Amino acid sequence: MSNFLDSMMRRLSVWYRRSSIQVVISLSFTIVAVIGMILLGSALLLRFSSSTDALLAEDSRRILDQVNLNLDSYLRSMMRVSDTMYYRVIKNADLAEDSIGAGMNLLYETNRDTVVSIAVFSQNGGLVSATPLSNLKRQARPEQQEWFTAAAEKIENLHFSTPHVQNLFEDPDYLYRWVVSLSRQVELTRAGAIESGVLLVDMNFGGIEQICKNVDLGESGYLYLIDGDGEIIYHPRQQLIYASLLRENNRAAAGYEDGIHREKFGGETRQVTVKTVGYTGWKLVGVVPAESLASNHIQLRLFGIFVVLFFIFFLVFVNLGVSERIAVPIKALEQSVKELEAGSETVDIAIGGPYEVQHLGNSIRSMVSTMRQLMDDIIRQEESKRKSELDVLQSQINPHFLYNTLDSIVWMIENNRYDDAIVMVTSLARLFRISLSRGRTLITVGEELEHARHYMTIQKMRFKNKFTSEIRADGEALGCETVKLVVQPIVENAIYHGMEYADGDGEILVWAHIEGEDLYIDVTDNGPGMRQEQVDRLLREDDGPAAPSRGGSGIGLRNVHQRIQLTYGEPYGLEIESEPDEGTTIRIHLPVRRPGGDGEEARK
Amino acid sequence: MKKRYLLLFAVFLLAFGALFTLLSAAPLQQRPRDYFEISVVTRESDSSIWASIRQGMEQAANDFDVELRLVTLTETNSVSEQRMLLSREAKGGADALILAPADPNALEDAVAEAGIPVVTMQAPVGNAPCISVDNEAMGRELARSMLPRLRTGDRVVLLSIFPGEGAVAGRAAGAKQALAQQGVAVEELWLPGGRGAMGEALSGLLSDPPELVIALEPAALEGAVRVFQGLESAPALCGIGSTSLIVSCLEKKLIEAIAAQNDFAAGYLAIDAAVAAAEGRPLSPAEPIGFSIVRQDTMYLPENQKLLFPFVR
Repeated sequence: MSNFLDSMMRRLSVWYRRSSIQVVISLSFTIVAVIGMILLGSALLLRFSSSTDALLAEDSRRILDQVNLNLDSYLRSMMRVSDTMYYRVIKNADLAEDSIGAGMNLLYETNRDTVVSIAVFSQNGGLVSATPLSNLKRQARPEQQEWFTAAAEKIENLHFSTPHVQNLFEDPDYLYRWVVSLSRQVELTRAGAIESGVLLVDMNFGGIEQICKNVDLGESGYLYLIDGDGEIIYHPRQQLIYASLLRENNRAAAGYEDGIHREKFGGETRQVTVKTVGYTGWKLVGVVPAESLASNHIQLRLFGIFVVLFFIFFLVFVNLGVSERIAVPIKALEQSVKELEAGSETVDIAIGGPYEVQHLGNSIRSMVSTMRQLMDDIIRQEESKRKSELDVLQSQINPHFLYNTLDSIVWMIENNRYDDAIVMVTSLARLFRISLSRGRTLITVGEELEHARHYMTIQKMRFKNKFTSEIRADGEALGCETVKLVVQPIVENAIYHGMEYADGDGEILVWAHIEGEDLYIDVTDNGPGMRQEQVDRLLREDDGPAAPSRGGSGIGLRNVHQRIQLTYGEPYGLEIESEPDEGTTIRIHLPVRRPGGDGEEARK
Repeated sequence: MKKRYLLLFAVFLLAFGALFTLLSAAPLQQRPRDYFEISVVTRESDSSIWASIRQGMEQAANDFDVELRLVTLTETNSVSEQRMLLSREAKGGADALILAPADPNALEDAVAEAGIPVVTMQAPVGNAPCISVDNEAMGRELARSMLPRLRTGDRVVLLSIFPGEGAVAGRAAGAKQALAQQGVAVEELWLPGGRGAMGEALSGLLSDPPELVIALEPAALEGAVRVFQGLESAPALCGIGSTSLIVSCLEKKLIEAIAAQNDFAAGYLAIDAAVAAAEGRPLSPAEPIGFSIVRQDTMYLPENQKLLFPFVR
């Protein structure tokens, strides 16, 4: 079990770590919200439940207090009837001379709604006076009745009986009324002598019932009244109890102190509130079944659960919205960065969502822009550097060439060949002048061909006319722009590799011409030519850096090719065609541009 | 946020709102119960005899949400009228019937054909549930309570306005059983003509008065006490029933003893059984209703007060 839990925890942990930010935010917020709402709801529910219980208990207690007040007031009014009868009527009458009937009748008529009968008995149970019925039943034995004996035992005290059927007087309608008897011992004056008697006031049971029956203790709650021994005085279902169809816990309730109790009776738990009615010792008992209390709790719980569920749903929805608002822009940003990583140059960095994510997007966009600019700068710098390097290489004059040429001039002067020396010196001077060209890297084709011509003049004199050369150019081509010193290295290459074994029959032809938008300068020799492998290797960059060719002016073909491409782009450069024993043609491919026009851009 | 989510949210919100309103307004209010219509067909034309039973029925009607109709006969113990009333009440939409049968045997087919549940009182009819005292035991106990004043050879008349069938037959059998122990002569006097014919028949009885008259039902007891009241030659009288008049006469010792059943409980239990039958609930066999033998000197004992004088609310 423990292993299984560990395994589950590990899986969950891994899954959580690998989840997207949206899932993490949604899940975390939702879990926190659910736990929070459940805790909050439970706490509130418990608080409400206890408050409701307390309120209900307090409500029961308050209702019982009110009933007690009413009942007390009712009983006191009965006691006042008894007091009035005793102190205002009986005490003031001598039975030998006076009748108490009139006073008694008046008192009865005043209270006939609540009083069934008023009667005075002598101490041996003889009827002294009674109203409204005055014929004592033949078989009636008042002195044997409980209310009589209780009154006789408690002098000066008022005694309230339990409900019983009044059976003292003849009723022509055979009516038997349930009454509560209020009795007291009284002193009767008869012919000046004092004798004991009993005053009886039978209270209408309906009066007590009226006070108790309309009490609202909830749908299934009720109230009953018992005497000190637990005998039922009033119960809403009294007759059912009398008929043994219902049971009540009245005997146990008689032992309860005032207050709220919990009891189990008839298989159900009940909340019982007890209040003792002053003077009589009767007890009001309010009963509320626990089931009724629980039903309030169930309603409350359901209501609470509903509210909690509602807020959980609401929070989950809000969490989803918030997480989406945060996560979606981040995802879009991540996608942009991925595309950027994959090398896409046109990717547009996504910017959206909250301020921080927008700020991050803007920063990345700015960074990418800066990076691109830096990269362009680096490329430009690299190209510039490369061009500079190539220009430097190109501008280097092979010292051997200079030494050999000057040596040839010395030799010519020593042999008095002054004219040849003059020609050679002049050509060398012109060669250097064009090489310098006031620092320009782009010159006209005419100047370039002039440079090549002077070079070939010098070399022809040095190589004792082992080859002939010819330079041809279309008139239009002469004015076009070209990178400086591109023809001379090729011519040099043709002389050193093509004319080495020539014996006066070597030919070098330089031809500048225009085809459409392209300018071509072909350098053709009739030397031994090359195999295709050699041709292919000539311009390949991985065959090492362009280096001065052996015995040449030190400026290689690759240098020329790279300089042209750096200046005009990939489509341009050198193209080589060669056949062994046939010769070689190296074609310089340039765009047609006029000095001061497009050439300015190239210069930049 | 996408429109779909917003729409979903709105729908849920509305649903929750509606539920919230319903719960706030009436949380788990119980559905009001249906009212049952139950008709009670007596066997007497005088409904006052049913006063206590009716109180029990009304209490039960209040407890079980029953609309009660008490139908008395125009002619006491009329089988044909009871048949007609059974049919009329069943067609009138009553959910169940309570019947005090005039003649259990004669009404068996009518009860079976009523088409609605029937609960009987006082005497069983067919297989219909019956709420009743143990009639035989009640007759026996009543007669036994009078034995001390009887001697062998005394005459005892069993009196009833109903023919000797059903409840009355049981009571008569019980009484005879007890009286036989004493060796007294038992006569049966059936007065199916009701109270009208009772005066003449009972007056005739006075020409040769028996030692004891036992009235086997309240109407006969009331009729007899009215006739015998104030007559010196009147035989001792006891009987079954606890109407106001009977209790009053018991108190005056015009009646020696009565057998009083718990009418309130009988009425209550009859309605309870009728509701159970109308709902189709299985009925457990009814316990016989309790009864007590009450004399003048015991009538105000607390238990007997509760039995004889129901609370009138």
